[in-house]
Amino acid sequence: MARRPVAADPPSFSRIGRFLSALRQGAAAFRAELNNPLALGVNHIVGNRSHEDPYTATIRAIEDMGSLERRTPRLRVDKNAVAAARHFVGLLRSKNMPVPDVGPSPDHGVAMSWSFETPKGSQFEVDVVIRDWKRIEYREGFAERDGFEKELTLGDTDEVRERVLRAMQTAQRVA
Amino acid sequence: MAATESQPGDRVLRGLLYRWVPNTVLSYDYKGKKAGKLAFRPDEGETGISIFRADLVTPANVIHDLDGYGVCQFTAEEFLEEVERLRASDENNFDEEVTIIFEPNDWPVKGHAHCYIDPVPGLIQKALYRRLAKMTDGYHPGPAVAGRSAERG
Repeated sequence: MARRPVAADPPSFSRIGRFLSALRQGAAAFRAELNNPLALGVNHIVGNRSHEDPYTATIRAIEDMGSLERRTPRLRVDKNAVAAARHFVGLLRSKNMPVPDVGPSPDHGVAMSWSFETPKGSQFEVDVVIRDWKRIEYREGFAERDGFEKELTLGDTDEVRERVLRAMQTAQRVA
Repeated sequence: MAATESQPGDRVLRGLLYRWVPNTVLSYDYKGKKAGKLAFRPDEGETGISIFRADLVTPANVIHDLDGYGVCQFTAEEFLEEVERLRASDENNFDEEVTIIFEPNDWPVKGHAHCYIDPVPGLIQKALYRRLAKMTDGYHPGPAVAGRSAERG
């Protein structure tokens, strides 16, 4: 079986193109683009990857998913999902929250997953799939239980961040 | 179940089944070396997932033209037993009927073995990746082509 190398650098989107895309998404997306560290070119300094903080590295991985279609058409990720996911990681950074595992979902979204250990050693998991700015699936629950404590669809990245934060706090309090 | 005994539209009640596993983070759990949380998530617009009868197709054929993918497996018997357990439990609030239907199609090299499990809500996906699915020997996915694990950096 042929093996593909780990994904190479994604092509740079022009800054003008990103701003125009963000404008079409609305005010929240435009403000996010203004605050996007990648827009400042910080992440495109050659040879700087080894010094990347985890937020920047996660954003880079999400950006890379935006170019998946050219390499692996079956794994296409919607550009609105990429934009919303990038913005969401920026929200995590603003609260110094842990970065999740990230990967492309089969339905063209960006999936994220955290696992928080409770004092007794069980795992409280949070899973998010960002389909676009207004369709964000959220699940939380104990790994060892059948289902989920919460399973809902949200339409706001700020709310998702708050729920992840509360889930972290919940895990720390579980007896 | 022998091929001669089943017709398109028949329910699959027994036998080994294969499912492809993409070589991306969260579809494959690279640390645990097992099917990941996204491995059984339906495609856009779908409520179920495709699987393939092991009596009619090889693991290699399941991932034909899916470069880097791996293969996992589970039996229809164990799956249906787990579905009934989840339905019977008062804790789950789950009473959907989940079926495995033999649905051959025209996909190259594997379409004749195609089946469809429907629906596959989150609870069922979790049962598959947590308890039921095992990676097929020699068919773990290749290096990840997308995604990032927070642990490895």
